[in-house]
Amino acid sequence: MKKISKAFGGVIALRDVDFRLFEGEVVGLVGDNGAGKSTLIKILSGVYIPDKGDIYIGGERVEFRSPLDAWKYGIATVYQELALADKMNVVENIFLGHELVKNVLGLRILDKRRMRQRAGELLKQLLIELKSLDVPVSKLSGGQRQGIAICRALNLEARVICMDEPTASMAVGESERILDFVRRLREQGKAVIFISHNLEHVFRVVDRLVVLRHGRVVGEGYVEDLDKDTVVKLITGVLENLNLLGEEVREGTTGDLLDRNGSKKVRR
Amino acid sequence: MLALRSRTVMPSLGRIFESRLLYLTMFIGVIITIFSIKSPYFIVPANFLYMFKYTGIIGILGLGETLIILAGGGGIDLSVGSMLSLSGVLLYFLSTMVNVWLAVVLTVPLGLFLGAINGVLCTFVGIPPFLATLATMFAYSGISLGITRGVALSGFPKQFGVLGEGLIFGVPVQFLVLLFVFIPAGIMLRLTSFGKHIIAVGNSEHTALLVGISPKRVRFVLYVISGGLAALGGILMDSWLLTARPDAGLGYELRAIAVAILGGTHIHGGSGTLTGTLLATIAITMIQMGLQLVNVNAVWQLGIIGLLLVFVAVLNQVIGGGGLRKLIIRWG
Repeated sequence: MKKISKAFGGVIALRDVDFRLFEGEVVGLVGDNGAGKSTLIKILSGVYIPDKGDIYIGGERVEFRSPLDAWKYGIATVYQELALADKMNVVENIFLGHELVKNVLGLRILDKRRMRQRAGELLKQLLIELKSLDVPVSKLSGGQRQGIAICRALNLEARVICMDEPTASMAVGESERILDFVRRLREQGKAVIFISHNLEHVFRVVDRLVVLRHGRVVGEGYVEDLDKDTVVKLITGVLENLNLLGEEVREGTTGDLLDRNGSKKVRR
Repeated sequence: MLALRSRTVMPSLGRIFESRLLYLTMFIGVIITIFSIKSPYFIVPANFLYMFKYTGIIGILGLGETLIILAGGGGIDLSVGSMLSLSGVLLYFLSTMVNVWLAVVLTVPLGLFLGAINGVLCTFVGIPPFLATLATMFAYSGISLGITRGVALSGFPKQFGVLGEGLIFGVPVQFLVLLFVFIPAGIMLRLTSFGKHIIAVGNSEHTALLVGISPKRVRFVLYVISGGLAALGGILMDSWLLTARPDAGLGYELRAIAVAILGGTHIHGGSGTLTGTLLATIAITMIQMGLQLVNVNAVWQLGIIGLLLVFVAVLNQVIGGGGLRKLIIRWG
């Protein structure tokens, strides 16, 4: 994403933000409340349209006008607010907007059996155990609800998965599971954007960190080169700017998402 | 009722649905028992069939209303009665020009168009549905009174009466028409993506948007459907009376809303069933018939249905709002 800007009324949420992501990489996006993390994610997932700036995927310039457009390019998002329909059941929520259908006498009828089966598989992957798939999701725990939202993203066979505060509403055991799960996604070659206030979690799971402050990128670097203190200083503005990525990396990439060669070039 | 909802045992939503259908069935049983004791004529087959005839128009309008309320966002269609009247009147004028059956076929798209006007106002223009459909309720009713100069128009050919008065194997055609629209609508709601999208939009507009469902598009379609169903109601009404009355649909909007709510559709959308609406239609029709048989004045009949709605509204608060305790806290 190159030179992304977005304002809401007079409030500037993002200013010339450059952001890139490579296959098989987990990038942590941190910053204070209102720093623009969620806005950036919502632009990437097609919910907001940026005022300025372009998005490139593998060199191709793309334009997202709706979440469906982003999905088509393999970008799935687990929103902070989870985007669940409370009175609907587990299966219905996982497939919301992407229902599986079969053809019955020329009518496109929901394939409930296949959806149930697939939902079961997805939940199993996440090690989420539910008593029943028929309960409305409002009756589930925070972690279970989070799990359902992640299942929805997984079901889309996404290449990029954005997670906005995935561990916020979770018990300790549950968040461990999510972190494990993020690592597994990386092993599968997927790119993950991990937003969290919990730096402990961030440091344990991400490869690279991007710090936002007042809608600008104020710091960027590999986890090995950073420590929590430095990141906190960047978040709070004590330290104004820090770029620990080599110059050749900054020049070499053009704001591309999912540059296959990029990932090898950047990883040392 | 309350025992079911003790704080330790939270019934799942599925169970609330089921229990709602169970209560409605029990309620219908109670009505039958009471009126059978009061009047020897209530339970006789002739009367029973007669009753099912009365379910047709209320049920068809109630179906459209249920779908609109289900999709939430303050969705409601106050104009169904007026759309019924206007479609009925337009059907009359069409029937003077072309064959009556062709006129019937042409009336449905006219109803869809009236519904589409509601849909545009409520979704794309963004007027709150209560206000928008109140306006079109007056407008449509005004037009039908205007073009008829307030006079009931009769002169339909006799064979046209088969829809409103006919029987097939003893079953009123009106009831068959009702089933004819309820069954596909039920399949649509339960077994298609669009049905799930209606419920999703009613649950949370925000969620729907984030998963790529357009709430405006979904709601627009439902207003159009409601218009088409109102036209079907107008056709049945004309056929029944063999007359097009410019005020034929007066009061039907309230009955349509009543059966939707009594049938368990949440007033803010997101949950409800068509079976509930169907059972509620039968219940309300039975009450009206029963009260008629025991010689309760028509004015009181409406009053009693009103009281029933108040009771159901309170019950909904208790079921949906987390028990009587919460209800008292909210008011106290």
